[in-house]
Amino acid sequence: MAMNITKLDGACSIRLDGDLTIFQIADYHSQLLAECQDAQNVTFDLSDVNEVDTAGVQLLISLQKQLNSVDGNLLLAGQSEQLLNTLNAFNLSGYFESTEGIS
Amino acid sequence: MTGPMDTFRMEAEEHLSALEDSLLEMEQTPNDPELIALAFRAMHTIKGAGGMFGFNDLSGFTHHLETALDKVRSGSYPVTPELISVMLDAKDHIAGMLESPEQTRVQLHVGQSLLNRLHKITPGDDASHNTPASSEESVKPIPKKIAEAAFRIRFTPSANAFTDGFDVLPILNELHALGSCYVTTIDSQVPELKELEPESCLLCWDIILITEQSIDAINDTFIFVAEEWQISIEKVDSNLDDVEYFDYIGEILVNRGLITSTQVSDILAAKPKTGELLQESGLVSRSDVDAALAEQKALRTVKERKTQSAQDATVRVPAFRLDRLMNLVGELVIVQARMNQLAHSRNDEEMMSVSEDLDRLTIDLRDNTFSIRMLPIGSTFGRFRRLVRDLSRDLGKEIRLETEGAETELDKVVIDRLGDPLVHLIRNSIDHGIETPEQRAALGKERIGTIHLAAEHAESHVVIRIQDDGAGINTDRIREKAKERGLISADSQLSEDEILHLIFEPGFSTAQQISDVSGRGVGMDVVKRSIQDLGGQVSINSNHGKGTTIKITLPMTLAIIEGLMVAVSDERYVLPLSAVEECIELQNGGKSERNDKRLVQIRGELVPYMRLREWFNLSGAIPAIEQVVITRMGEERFGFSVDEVIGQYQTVIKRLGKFYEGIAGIAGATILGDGSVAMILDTVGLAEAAESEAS
Repeated sequence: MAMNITKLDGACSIRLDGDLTIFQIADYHSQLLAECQDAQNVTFDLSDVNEVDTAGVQLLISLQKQLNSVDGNLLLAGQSEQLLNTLNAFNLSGYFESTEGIS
Repeated sequence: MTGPMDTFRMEAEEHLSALEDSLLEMEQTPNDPELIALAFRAMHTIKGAGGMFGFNDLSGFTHHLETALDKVRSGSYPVTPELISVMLDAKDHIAGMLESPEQTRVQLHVGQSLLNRLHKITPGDDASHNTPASSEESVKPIPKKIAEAAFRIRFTPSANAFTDGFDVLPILNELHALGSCYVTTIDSQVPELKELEPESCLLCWDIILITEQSIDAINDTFIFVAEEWQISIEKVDSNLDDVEYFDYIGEILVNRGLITSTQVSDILAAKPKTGELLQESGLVSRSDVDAALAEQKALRTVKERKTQSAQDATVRVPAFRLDRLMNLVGELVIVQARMNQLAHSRNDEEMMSVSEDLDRLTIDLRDNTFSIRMLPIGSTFGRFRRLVRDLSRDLGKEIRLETEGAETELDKVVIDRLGDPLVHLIRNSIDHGIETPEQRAALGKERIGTIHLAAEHAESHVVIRIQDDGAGINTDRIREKAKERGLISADSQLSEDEILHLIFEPGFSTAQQISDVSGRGVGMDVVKRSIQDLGGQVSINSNHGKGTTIKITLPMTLAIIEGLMVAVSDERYVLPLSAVEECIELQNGGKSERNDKRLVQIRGELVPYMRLREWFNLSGAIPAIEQVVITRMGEERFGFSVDEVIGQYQTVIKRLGKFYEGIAGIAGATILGDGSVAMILDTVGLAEAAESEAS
């Protein structure tokens, strides 16, 4: 259960294992703020994420907004089945740009 | 404020009683599809809610029951008495499980044996396919012909929804399960990362749900968050007119952040109205259009009101808030009375007119507040069905419970405190009243005994009757028993009616042997006392061999009293008007005084009375002409002599503090217009105290 962030030339690459829920959200939020404050492009690997709840989705939306404001981009590299189900339920499956063209 | 856990338990208990009611009804009409659906829904909701609150065992247990009920609903299994029995036992088991998410070993064991019983009578899928169709003749799959409707659901979770443990996902999943669901997640309130409070919920949702389910099913989805979240659920009419449709498209676009709302309204304003177009083309006149527009507006208002009333249908409020409101209104009534008096004493016209207006409003407010506390008595009737069913089985009797007037309204406090006495009376009817089927058959009665429970309004009172067609009461046995117990002397001449009422005496029980059900000697006197505490009266009427009727008369509310105000010396007292029969004048201390008991003759009948002046040790001389207020208690009459009868007085009762609660003869107090206090007398208690002192 951890968030691994690697930075390279203003781009952030993040990999998340475990859950993305209200229980971790404050932690992850401060980590993202610390590490990706100035990043323009973020690649988020969520292929192994387990449970994702509404707070988790909200964090992703906020990150997306942050990047949009600096003409950056959030790319979801890999989406676990749980994440896909959650995004589908919210009708947000097209909201994020993804390496796997999900419709 | 009640926490979500309490709300869950409360709701679950309500669903359980709904389940019980429908199961019991099902015993009478096993094939009523509505009852089956009701039971299923209750079970389903309990299961879902249990899961949400971490009651996993509960949710697992109810799952099996739900499955069984679903099979019954689809017609693959008939409703049988055994099934209902298992379900009822399961209902009791679930009630126990609500105590804690963790189950004891005993509970687990009970649960398992219930499931085994259930399994025996509802065989698995394979077996049900083999069930011969002929035996299922009566059970047809329930045709469900509810038209599809579209609902627009918008909700904004409270900001602390996440930290309170609510997630939106399960709700969306439930909505998805109800029908086709088009979800729009509105993220316009979500800020950029650096401003985000990650634990607050800033998203909101706009959902179109096309479903065959009723609006209730959708409301149920939000059952645990309804108080905290902003939720609007409205039915979208299929015949949407153009403008509204446009509005809606516009809203969606705005919500998704594609355009701003000003852009939409600009475009809408630019778009010529259909009416204007028609008018220009000369097809209709200006006035025609105006009329049509007015109609349209009216229709929309109606629609708006409808959706509003659906939303506001119920509000759950903790009882103590109502009590507080009630108290405040009581204070207000009292202050208003003072103001009234002040205005009159100053003879200030302007002030009087203000006071009159305020008077009207206060009375309105008071009546409205009281009506909030009114509940239909039917909620307690449900309890008795189960009681009658279980007890009659235990005793090997066949008894039918008929109820009437379940919608009769009574103050919540009265209803709550009425439960136990009624249970006792019904137990008595079942145990002592109704005979066994064999005895009944031998007597030429119908094998099935009947207990008729009826409630009705009679003036400012509610009358409850419990009537059975059983053996009735043997007055000879009561007479013997009463003599044995020293309640009456051996040579006393009592009427049949007086003898019947002896059963309300403390320590009286006629049961030949003590049974588990009743007859422990703590019977009717407790019932009588509880009813009297509620300001009510109880009387009995019995016909040996034909049955017994018990009549309970209760005031509609405990908080307000219609009283007769009287004065003794400088003190004021209020007597409950419901008990007052007449007022008479008494000259020179009455006709006769025997054994310290004062008696007054009214139309040839001697009625005992007491002097309030003496009872309360008040100073001052007895006036030459005293007034005697005659009150009636059941069949007896009792008088209270006072200096002056002031008149009718409606007031809010203030309870005396705990310290004074036990004082005989005083029911409470009220504050008068001039700020002084008047005691409200408990006529029954006073009369009893006076009699016991005299004897």
